[in-house]
Amino acid sequence: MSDITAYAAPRSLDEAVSLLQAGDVTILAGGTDLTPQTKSGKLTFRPTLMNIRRVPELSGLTESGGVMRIGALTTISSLLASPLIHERFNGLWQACDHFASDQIRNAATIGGNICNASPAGDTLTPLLTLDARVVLASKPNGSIVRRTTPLGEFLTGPGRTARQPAELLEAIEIPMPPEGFFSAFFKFGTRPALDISVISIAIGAVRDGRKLTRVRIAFGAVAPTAIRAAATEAALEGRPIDAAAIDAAVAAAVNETKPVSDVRASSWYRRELVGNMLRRMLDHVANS
Amino acid sequence: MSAPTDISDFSIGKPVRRSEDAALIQGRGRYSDDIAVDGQAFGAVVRSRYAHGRLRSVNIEAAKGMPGVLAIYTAADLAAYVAPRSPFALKSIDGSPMLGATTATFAKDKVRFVGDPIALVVAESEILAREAAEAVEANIEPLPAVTDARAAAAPGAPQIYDDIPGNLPLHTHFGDIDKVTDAFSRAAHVARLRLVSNRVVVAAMEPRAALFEYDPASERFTAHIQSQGVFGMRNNLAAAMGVPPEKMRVLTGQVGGSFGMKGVVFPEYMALLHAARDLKRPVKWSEQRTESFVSDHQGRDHDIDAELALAADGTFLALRMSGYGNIGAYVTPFGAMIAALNIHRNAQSVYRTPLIEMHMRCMLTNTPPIGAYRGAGRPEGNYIMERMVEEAARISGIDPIDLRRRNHIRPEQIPFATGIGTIYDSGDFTGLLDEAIEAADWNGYAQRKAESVARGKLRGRGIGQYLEITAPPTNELGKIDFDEDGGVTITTGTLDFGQGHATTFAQVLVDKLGIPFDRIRVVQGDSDRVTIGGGTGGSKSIMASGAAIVEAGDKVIEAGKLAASHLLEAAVSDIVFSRGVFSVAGTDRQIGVLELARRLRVATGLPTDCPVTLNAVHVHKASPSAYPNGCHIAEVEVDPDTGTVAVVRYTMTNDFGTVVNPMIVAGQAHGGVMQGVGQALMERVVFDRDGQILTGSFTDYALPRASEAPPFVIRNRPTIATTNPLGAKGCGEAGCAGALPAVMNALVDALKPCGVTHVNMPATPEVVWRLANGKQARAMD
Amino acid sequence: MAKVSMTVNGKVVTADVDPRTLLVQFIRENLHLTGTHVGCDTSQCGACTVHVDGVAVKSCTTLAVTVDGANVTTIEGLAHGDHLHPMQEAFRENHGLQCGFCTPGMIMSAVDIVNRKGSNLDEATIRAELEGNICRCTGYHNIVKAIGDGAKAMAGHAQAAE
Repeated sequence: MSDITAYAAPRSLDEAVSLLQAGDVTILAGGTDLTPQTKSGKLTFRPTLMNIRRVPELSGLTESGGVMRIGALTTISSLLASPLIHERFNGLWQACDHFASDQIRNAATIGGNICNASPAGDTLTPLLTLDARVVLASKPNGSIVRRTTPLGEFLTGPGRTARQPAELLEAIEIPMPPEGFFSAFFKFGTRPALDISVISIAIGAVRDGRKLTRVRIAFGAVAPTAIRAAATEAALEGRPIDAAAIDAAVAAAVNETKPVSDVRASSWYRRELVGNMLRRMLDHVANS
Repeated sequence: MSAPTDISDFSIGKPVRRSEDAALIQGRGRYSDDIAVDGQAFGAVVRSRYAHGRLRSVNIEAAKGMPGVLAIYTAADLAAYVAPRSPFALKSIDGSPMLGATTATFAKDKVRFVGDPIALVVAESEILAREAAEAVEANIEPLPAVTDARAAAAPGAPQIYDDIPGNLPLHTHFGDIDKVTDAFSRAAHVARLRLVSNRVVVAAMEPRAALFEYDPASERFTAHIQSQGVFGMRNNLAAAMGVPPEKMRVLTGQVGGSFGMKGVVFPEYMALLHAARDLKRPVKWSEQRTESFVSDHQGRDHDIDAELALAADGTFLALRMSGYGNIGAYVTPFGAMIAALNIHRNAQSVYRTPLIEMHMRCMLTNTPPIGAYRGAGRPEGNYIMERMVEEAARISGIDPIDLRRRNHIRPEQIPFATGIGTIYDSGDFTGLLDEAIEAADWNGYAQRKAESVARGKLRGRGIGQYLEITAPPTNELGKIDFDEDGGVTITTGTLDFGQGHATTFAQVLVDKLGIPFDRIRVVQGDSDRVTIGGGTGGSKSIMASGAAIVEAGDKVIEAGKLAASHLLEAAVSDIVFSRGVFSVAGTDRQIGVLELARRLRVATGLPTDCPVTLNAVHVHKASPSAYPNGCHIAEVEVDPDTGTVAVVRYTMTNDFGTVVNPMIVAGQAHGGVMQGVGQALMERVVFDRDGQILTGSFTDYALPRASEAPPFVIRNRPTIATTNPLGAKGCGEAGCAGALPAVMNALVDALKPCGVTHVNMPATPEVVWRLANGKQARAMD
Repeated sequence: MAKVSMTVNGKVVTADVDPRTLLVQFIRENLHLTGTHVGCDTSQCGACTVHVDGVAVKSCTTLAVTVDGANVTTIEGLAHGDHLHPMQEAFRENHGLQCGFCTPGMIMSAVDIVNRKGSNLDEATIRAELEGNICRCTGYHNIVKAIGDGAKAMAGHAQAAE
C-alpha cells in the first residue's frame, strides 16, 4: 500500500538527515519525476514523505576555492538563468535548455535529475565531462557526516545510485575548469520537444590552438547509465582536431557504445546517430 | 446590452469570432470531469494485463473488504446488457452477415486485449476505487496473442473467438473482377504499392469521463457524458441497458475533442449505469490518459496492396486493392465499415477511373478495438489513390501534374456518376489543382531547394489532391424558439466538440432571419430537448443542422407573413420579408421579426387563422452526401544525418462549397492537416509480441507539438453544392485526407536522390535513415 | 494529513490534505476551480499549467504540499473582473482554440513565455517555447498567431498602465 503516515517539511539539513536516519522516507524535491513514477506504479510512496524544498543548505550556486558548488535543489531554470553556468559550463547550460519544457524546468532540480539516474538524464552527460562530484550528507551518529564521490561512480544503473537510504544529496561540486576549456551538448529525440533522448552527447576539452587536451566525452541513453567514453576520449587526447582525429574518435565511439533496442530506436540506429552526431559536434569544434 | 452592430457583419461568409470562447478562455467550460454532484461514488475499471487468455476466475473478495468499497461488478452482473450493433448491414462475399457484430460488455471467459475490461469497482472516492481495483485478482491463463492483421489471417494464428473461424468476421469484395482483370490485361503500365495506414490513438485532449445518475422514483437514468449527439447516445445507451428511450436522459456539456471516438457506447458505460441503478447513487468515472491508451477505440490500421492500371496515354483504367483491416479485439459500430466500405469509395477521388475493385479482410486481433478517427477511411482512400498516381507517374514517365489533369473529372462532365455509385454534383478539380500550384509558388521551388541543399538538407515537395464523401446528413432537428427574454434559441441534434457550431449556426440564422447574432443561442446537449438528430460525424453537421435551420427559418417566415398581415392589416400576399423585417410592399408599414414574436406572445384576441407563435419545429429530411475536395501541397526537409523530416511549407486550396465562417473552417483544415502530418511522420501504436502496448503514454507516443507543425497557407475555391440549401460541403475531415498523401509524396520526392521510391507511414527518423542509407543498413543489421 | 495554506487567485486558502494530493486536485476538487484541466498523467500535455509565484508549472506533477505558502494563479484568476487578460483576448481574436480543453494551459504558458522572453516573439521562438503544451485540434497555427499578438498586447497594456 502507498499510504503515507507522515509528512515532513524540514527547515534545515540537520532536520532532514535526522528524518532520513530515523526511517523509511520518500524524498520529494521538484516532484516532476516522482509524481509520474508513483502514478504509473513504478514507485510507491514510503510511510514518510519528506519535502526538502525548505532546506536552505540545499540551494545556491557559489564559486569558491576553484570549485563551483550547485545546491541539489537548484532548479533547471535557475541554472539556465545563471550567467556563470552559461559562460563557463556551456555544455551543462545547453543540456538545461533542452531539458523537458519550461513548466518542468521551473520545478525540476539538478539533484533530482541525478538521483533519478535515468540513462537519458539530460544533465548527467555534461556533468560527467565536468568531472562533477556529488556531496552526500547523513547523520549516522548524532552529527552530520559528508562524503564526496565522483558522479561516474555514483550512477550505478538505470534508476540506481550509490546513495544510501540515510543519505541526502546535498550539492554537486565542479572543479572550475582551466583556461581554454569549452563544452557542448547534443540531444536527439525522435522529436524535438520534451523527449526522453534517443541519444545524447556531451563533450568538454581544453583547447590550445588546434590541440585538444583533458578531453571528456560522455554519452546518454546508450548504456544502463550515462557513461564516459574512454576510447573516444583517447582518440582525441593531445592531438590536433583534424579529419583523422575525428574519424578515429567516431570509429571509437561507434565501437564502444552498446545501446539497447527499444520502441524509440534500434541499437543499430542509436550507434549510427552516436557516430553522426559526434562527427557533427567535432566538425563544429574543428571549424570554430 | 452590447452596442448595436450591423447584422451583415455576422452573416454567412464572415469570420465571426466565436461566441463559445468567452467561457473557454476563462476556464468556465463545463467538461464531463468538471461535473460533481452530492453523494457521488467513483468507479474504477479493472483491466486485463494480458492480450489474450482464458479468464479462469475473478477474485473480488479481498477488494470488496477494502475501505470505502461499495460494490464490484463483473461480466456475470452485466450479462443482460448488449452494446448496439453496427448500424451498417455488412455482408461477406458469400452473403453471410458480419459475425460477432456486437461489442462485449466485460470480459467473461476470455480476455482479448491488454485493457479489456474485467470488473468495475465502485467506492467512496476515486483513490479508494483505484486502490481496490488493484486488489481485484483476475486469474488469467495466457494464450499466444496476435496483433497484426496479416499474421491473424495466417494459418496457425491464435484463434481469438471460438465461433469466428480464422479471426475473420467479415470478408468483403467490391467491384467487377472480370472487367478489372480485363483492364489490367490491356494496361500499358501498372503501378503497384503496398500501403500501410498505421494505427494511431485518437488522443482527444480531454480523456473520457462521465457521471451517471438513476432516479428510482421515475426509473430514469441521467447520463452526463461526452457524445457526438445526445439523441443517438440516448437511444444507444437505452438500447444497451434494455430500457425505453424515455427512461434515459443524456446531457453533454463541453467535449474536449472527439474526432469520432466519443460518439459510441463503451462497455464502461453499461457497467456504470448498472452501478448507479444498483447502488442508487450517482457514479462518476474519469479515465486517466494511460488508461485511455488501451480503453479508447483507436484509429486506422490498414495494410493494402494497391495496383493502378494505365493506358499508354496515362488514362487510369482500373484501381485494384486487396488488403487487411485490423479491427482490434471487438467489432465496434464503425470499425469494420471503415475498412469494408469507406476506403475504396473514397479512393475514387477526383478521377474518372472507371473501375475500382476492393478485396478486404477485416481481421480480429488482440489489440484495442478500432473505431472512427477523423475521416474514418476517407484519408486512407485518398492516400492510396494519390500515392498510386505518383507511382504511376514515376513508372510511366508522365509528369504527375499532367497525369492528374488527364484523369480529372472535368467540370463539363458534372454531375458525374462514378463507378462506385456516387454522383458528384459540383467541383472543378483541374482549376483547383492549378490554383493550388500557383498558391504554393510552385515555380519558386527550385530556389528553395537550392537553399536547403546549401544547408545540407534534402528537400522534396508533394501533392495531395483529395475528394471525400461526407456522411449523408441524416434526419435532423431544426427548432427555432423565440424566447421570453427576447433571445432566440436554435435546438439541433448535431453536437459541438470544438467545431464552433454555436457561432456557425447562429450565422446561418442571422443570414436567414436577420436576427442579431448576440440574441441567438444554440442548444445541442440535452436529449430531453433534442427530439431527433443524427449527431456530428462524417463532416456533415453544416449540411444537416444548417439545412434544418434554413428550412425552419422558412417556416418562421411563412408564419410571420401571415401574422404580420394581421398586425399590419394587409393581404398576406403583400407582405415581404427582408433582413429581419416584415413589411407591406410599397409602404412604410413594417414590423421586425423579434417584435412580431413578442407581439404574438402578449397579444390577445387575434383572429383564429393568425399564428400564435413564430416558433418553428422542423426536421430536415435525410439528404445526399457532399463532396468536399481540395489540393494540398507540402514541402519537406530531411536531415540526412539523422533522418528527421520537417514539414517546412504547407499550402492548401479547398473546395468546401459555401463557407459560413472562413475563420472556423480554416481552423478545421489546420487541425485536420496536423493530424495527418502526425500520422505520416510520427504517430504509431506499437505492440510487442505478447500484445503489450509499447507506446502507452505521451512519452513514447509522439503526438505532434507546435515545433513540428508548419505554418499554413490556405485558400478557398468553392463550387457550390447542389444537395443542400446552403451549398456547403463539410470540412471537418478534409485536412487529413489531403495531408497524408501531400506529406508522403513530398518525402518520397526528397529521398529520390537516395533511390527511394516509396516510404510507409509513419516516416520516423529511423525509418527514413534506414531507407536513405539502404545498403549500409542491411549490411549492419 | 498535511496542512497547506496558499494564495490562489488572490484569496488565501487553507486545508488539510492527504500529502499525495496534487496541486491540480487541490485546485479542482477542493477549490472547485475546474478551468485547470488534466489531459495526461505523464506531465506531457500542459493542460494543467498554472503559475506558482509567477512562473509556470504543471500542477499535475506538483504536490499541493510543496506550494505551501505560495501564490498560485489559475486561468480563473487571469482576467481583471470583466476585463480579459490580453492573452485571453488574443486567443479569441485569432481563433486559437477549438474544443478549449488545452486552452487554459496554453494561455497560462503563453503568459509565462512573454514574462520570460519578452513581447517581441518570433514564430520559431513561440513554437519552441510551446514544447510543454499539446493541442490536438488546432494544428497550432492560430495558437502561435494568438501568442504573438497577445505578447504585443501585453506590452501595450503594460505601457498604458505606466
